[in-house]
Amino acid sequence: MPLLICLAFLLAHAGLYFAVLRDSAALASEKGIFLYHFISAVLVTGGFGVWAVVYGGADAWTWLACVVMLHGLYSLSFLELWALADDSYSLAILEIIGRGGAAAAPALMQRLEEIGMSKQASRLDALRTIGLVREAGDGSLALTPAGRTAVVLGRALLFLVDARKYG
Amino acid sequence: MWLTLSAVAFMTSVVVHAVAVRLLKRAGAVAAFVAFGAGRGVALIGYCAVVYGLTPAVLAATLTYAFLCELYIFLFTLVGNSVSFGLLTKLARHPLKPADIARFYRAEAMIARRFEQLERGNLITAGPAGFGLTARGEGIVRVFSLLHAMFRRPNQWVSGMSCGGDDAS
Repeated sequence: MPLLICLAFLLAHAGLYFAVLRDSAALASEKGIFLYHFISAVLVTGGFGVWAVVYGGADAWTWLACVVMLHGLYSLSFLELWALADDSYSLAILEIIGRGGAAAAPALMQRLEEIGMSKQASRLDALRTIGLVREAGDGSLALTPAGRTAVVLGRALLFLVDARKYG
Repeated sequence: MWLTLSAVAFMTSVVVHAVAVRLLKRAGAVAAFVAFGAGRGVALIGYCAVVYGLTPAVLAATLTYAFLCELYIFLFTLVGNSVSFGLLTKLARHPLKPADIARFYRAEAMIARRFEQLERGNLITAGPAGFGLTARGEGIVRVFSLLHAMFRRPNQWVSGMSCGGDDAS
């Protein structure tokens, strides 16, 4: 029963987005759509957490874990697809090639390089905003301690999957 | 308990995958993880069903394992293809002025790597007339056309470009 209630909630959550909120300016940014899912996850965890405390049986906590994981699977899949539809460089390349005609022209590479440069600039701004990169006194950019930690963790992941090329 | 079983199954999948991608050089990291992870997942469900019977614990173990696997795939694909991570690794070597970043992190290299990935994934093919989409690539573009419409999110790097033969000029 808790799982069915959670499924109904997730259906309503997705339905609300696709029927009403997808054109909303508040959900047009990465931060906005992330908050839409984060608040929902907090509500589901809080609601079922209270139910588990009141109900009290061992099964209640197991059901709580089920609904939290189900929400995690739903939100991760939704956000991945949203981000790919919005911002994927590889998909941009596929779509540009798919438009045909100029696929062989050097202009295609020029356009892709422009996109690459724009992407670098926007990502650099984002890294500064979230505190992974800081501006040093001489105007150069350097990593913060959080940025260095992110690099170590990222390299550990790449080592696990044996990826030698990245970026 | 079931949480320990899920965690052990996940860590085993990560280790088996790490060995497999080194032995099977041509296997894609995502496809290999899905294959090994699915096998391990079926084993986990079977083992939990024997130990716990048909109880919520089996469902909880399965969902926890599935979530950990999806999160792992998300993280390694994110890091492996992330422009942000590429910039972070360049800055990890030494601080750079914004104007120097483009020199150290060239867009041509980013593009070349993506073309290589797309060709290896059988999504594009190089011919005398230039690059073209394979049937698989066309399928992916169609799927994402649907997703662009569903989310009302045109790819921000392509939107604004006009269609037709001279669109990239």
